[in-house]
Amino acid sequence: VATAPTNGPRLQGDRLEILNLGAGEQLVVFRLVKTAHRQDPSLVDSFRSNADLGKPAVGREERLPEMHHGISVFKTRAQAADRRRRIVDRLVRQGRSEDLRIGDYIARLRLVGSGFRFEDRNSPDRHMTVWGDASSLAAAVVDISPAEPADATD
Amino acid sequence: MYYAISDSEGSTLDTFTDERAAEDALVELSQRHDTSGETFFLLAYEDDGSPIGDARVVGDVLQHQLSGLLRQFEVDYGWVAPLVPSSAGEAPVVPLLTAKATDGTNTTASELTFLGSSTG
Repeated sequence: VATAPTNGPRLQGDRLEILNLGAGEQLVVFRLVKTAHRQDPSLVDSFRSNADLGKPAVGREERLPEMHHGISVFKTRAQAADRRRRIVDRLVRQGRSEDLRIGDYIARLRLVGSGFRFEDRNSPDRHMTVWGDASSLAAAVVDISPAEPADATD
Repeated sequence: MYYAISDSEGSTLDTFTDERAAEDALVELSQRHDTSGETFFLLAYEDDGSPIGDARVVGDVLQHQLSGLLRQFEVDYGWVAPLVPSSAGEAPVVPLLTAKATDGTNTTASELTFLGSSTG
């Protein structure tokens, strides 16, 4: 069970609300990734921010540049799976399967300690933004499972 | 209701509580980053987090907005003619879309856009 993180400046509206994980605090989150194996060296690539990947800043990333260096995670596995399912369904229905870039797996991360920061806007889709070194985030993966049940991926 | 704009890897780029604002942002982002090869998606949620419907892309939103525009025009002005391609051999000044107002006057596509914007 994740303990409630504390401290950090709390700003309102569209401004950034970054919190720090304190000593002994932990946060469990879920992230779409592109490999099923924790030992796969490419796993770290699934934790690179849009800035690290050289993508242009878009949306909140433009208004709040720090957002460009964070990654999207979800508080529940179900919400991560829903995000993937709806994007995949839309592209497949459009006949654009070749444009699929989203990960087929969901990693569960247990973030512990001061190396990680996060923003939680309590949004209905249980989305959060997490900041941390990509290799540290990959090392925090507890397990990885397919986003879709085996009988639904055929 | 809650709306999230996501990129094709599932990362949230922006969020909204107003559908029209979310749709407008999706259109603006998609147009501005047209050459990036990225596809942006609009996802809707109930306030309790339950997903609503399918993910939408910019084409879905534009189609929805045009449909609303035509429906509104039909309410205000009686009826809307089907899409009328310009006749072969005519100069390309013939509007692709013609609507007839209740006073019998014809309205061009550009006027239709103006009227639709003014009716909100």
